[in-house]
Amino acid sequence: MLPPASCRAPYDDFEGLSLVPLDNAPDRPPAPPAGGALPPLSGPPPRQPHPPGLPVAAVPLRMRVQFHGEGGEFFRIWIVNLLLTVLTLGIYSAWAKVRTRRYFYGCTSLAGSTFEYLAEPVAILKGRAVLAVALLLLYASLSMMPLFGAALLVGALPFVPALIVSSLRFNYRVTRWRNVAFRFTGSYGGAAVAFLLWPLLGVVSFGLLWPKAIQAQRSYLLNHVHYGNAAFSADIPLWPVYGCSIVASVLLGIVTAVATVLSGLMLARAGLRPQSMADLDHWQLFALVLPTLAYLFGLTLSAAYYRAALRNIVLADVAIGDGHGLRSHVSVLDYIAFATGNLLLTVVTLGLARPWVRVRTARYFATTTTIRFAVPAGAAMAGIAAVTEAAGRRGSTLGDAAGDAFDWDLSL
Amino acid sequence: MSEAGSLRIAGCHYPAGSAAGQAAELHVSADGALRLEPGGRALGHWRGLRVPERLGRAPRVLGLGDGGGFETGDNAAVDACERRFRGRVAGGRLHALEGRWTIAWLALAGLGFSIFAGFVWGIPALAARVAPWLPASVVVGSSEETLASLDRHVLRPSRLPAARCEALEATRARLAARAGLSGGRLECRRGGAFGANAFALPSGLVVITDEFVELGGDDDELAGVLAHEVAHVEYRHGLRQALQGSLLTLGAALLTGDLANAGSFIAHLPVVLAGLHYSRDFEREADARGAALMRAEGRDPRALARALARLEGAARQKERPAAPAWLSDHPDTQERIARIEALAR
Repeated sequence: MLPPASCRAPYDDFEGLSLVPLDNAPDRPPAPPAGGALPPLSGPPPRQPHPPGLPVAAVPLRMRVQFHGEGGEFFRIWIVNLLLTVLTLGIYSAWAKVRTRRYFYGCTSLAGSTFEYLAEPVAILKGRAVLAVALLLLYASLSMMPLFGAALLVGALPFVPALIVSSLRFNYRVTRWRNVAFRFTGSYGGAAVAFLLWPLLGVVSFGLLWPKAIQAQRSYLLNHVHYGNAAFSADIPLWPVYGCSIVASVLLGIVTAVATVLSGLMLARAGLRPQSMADLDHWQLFALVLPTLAYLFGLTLSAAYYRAALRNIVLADVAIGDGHGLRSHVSVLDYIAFATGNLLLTVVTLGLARPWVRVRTARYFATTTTIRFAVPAGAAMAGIAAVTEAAGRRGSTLGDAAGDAFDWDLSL
Repeated sequence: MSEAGSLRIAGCHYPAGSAAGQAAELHVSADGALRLEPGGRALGHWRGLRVPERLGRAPRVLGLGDGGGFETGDNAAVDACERRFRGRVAGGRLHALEGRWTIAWLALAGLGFSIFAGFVWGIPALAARVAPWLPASVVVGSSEETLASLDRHVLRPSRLPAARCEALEATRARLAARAGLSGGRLECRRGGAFGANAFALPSGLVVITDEFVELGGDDDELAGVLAHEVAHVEYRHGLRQALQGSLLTLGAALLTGDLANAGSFIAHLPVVLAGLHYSRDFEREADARGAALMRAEGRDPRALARALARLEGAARQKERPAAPAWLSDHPDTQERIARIEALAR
């Protein structure tokens, strides 16, 4: 027997939606409206009749991105992926990647519609094979012929922006929402400036220009994204990026100093000078490991702070097309606690909790992202009429594989 | 309501090239013909749809022939139609595997065993096969580079009488010939931070430090040490260690590819420990082969054990505690001595 048909949205997102005029829109995600009073959207129809008196048109709408994945469900996908990857000596990893991405995209929904990831695993496999051989050669030459290896490393630099650009093109091209693809239109020159020139200046200036490099990179990554014919644009302010970089560095500096002093004291107490690893006994090892763990803990705190704060700055006010927008509102302290818990969970379970952590993280970032529609969603969607993709601008699979390694994408 | 054998799938229809979707129903007739409601537009046959593989409970967008899409969370109905009109569900087997906890726990056990087997047998076997294929020029060149770098940073010129070093070189050459090796040479150096030590580089270059020679061991003991180093060269241990390190890193990257930041450091620790494990295995292999070479030369196969005991005694005098076994690149000295004694018996 075939199951009975019912008019059902893939997911019911509507509890996350609220009608808030932009002027007094809250910073935090709005609480679900009581009573389920909802405007009609395109796509799935509302369950309840639209109550009179609520504005339907000409009011900006904020909608939270939703995530519907479950840790247990993803654990089963993850473990099968890993086993098949190992049994096929890595060949299945391309399929595993596509399945993982498809799961996370398919579980992410906005206005009742989910995201699609349509990459071909075979294409990714080819890219990965090339990358694996290149990395193996590089690793081998670095360990056997350090000078030649270093020259190889420098010689490969000009290819990095090309890999980044084609990876971004590929990844956005295969990402769709409501049957309309994203696009990335950044150029090689722009990528070279953002990912080679600015970091180089950042290093030469002893880190003083590093936040500028980060700002340039985020700006490049964001300002060349299109959803259909709607372009993303954002002015990322420079000084807040400096501010959060300084706070993160100071945080890391304090923790490093404390860990170093602690390590010195413990080693001195043990009556030892630091020697090679091979000359240590258990107690000395403990004296070294404890501060190292403290340092890693501090690194986690600092990285979590930086990630949350930077995300709020970068995605503070992203304009999409004609009056639509995107905004991040992560609570920084909340996220630090969340990320620390995730790390502990991962370590304590020797990595087995990783699927739950990934699902939790995806849900966290989805629900701290709101999309603003300039007009009620139905009309807004009509405004985002798709453009046909430019022919002949195909992202290379090698680029996608490299993008895999670097993980360049604008994850929501 | 549906006629006999027909089916309705609820979802959202997106016309080609537009995000303006509409709530809709896909009516699938008993013979697979598709109709979109409301509107009643015919959409061809089910077999003309592009149906993504099933993945958990995630909704799927069915690709319509005209470039449009139909998004639905009714996975059961879609799979039923796939089975009926295409005879199979794409990715159905994977979905069945991913759907059961029993399979998940079995997969976990299988994964644990695979990682263990790959680590204990797979990687060493692969490295042993690949090592002979590496061109000789690379091997020789990299060894000379390594020695030059060590000379700059750690080692100092030897203060031994030239005759002593030449005698050691003659011993090494005999042992190397016995192992079927041509080329290679012995270099004497003052060890500095290395202390009493001897090591071999892949090209056959063996270095012994003055401090080792000055420990007071007899010629047999030093020959035993040289035999151990010649065995490292014969079995290409240096290259294989480098290759196994690369393969370990690659494997770990494959398994933990999604770990980030501090997590990657923690994920790197097992790679380091596994590398040390391989190194200890190579030392045991070289001990055994070295003893065999000594016996073939008509010398005492236990000589290396005596040299090791002397080395350990010297270290104990300086009150330097030994590293925990799992953190050392060499096996425990007492274990090595016991093994060599057992072999010589």
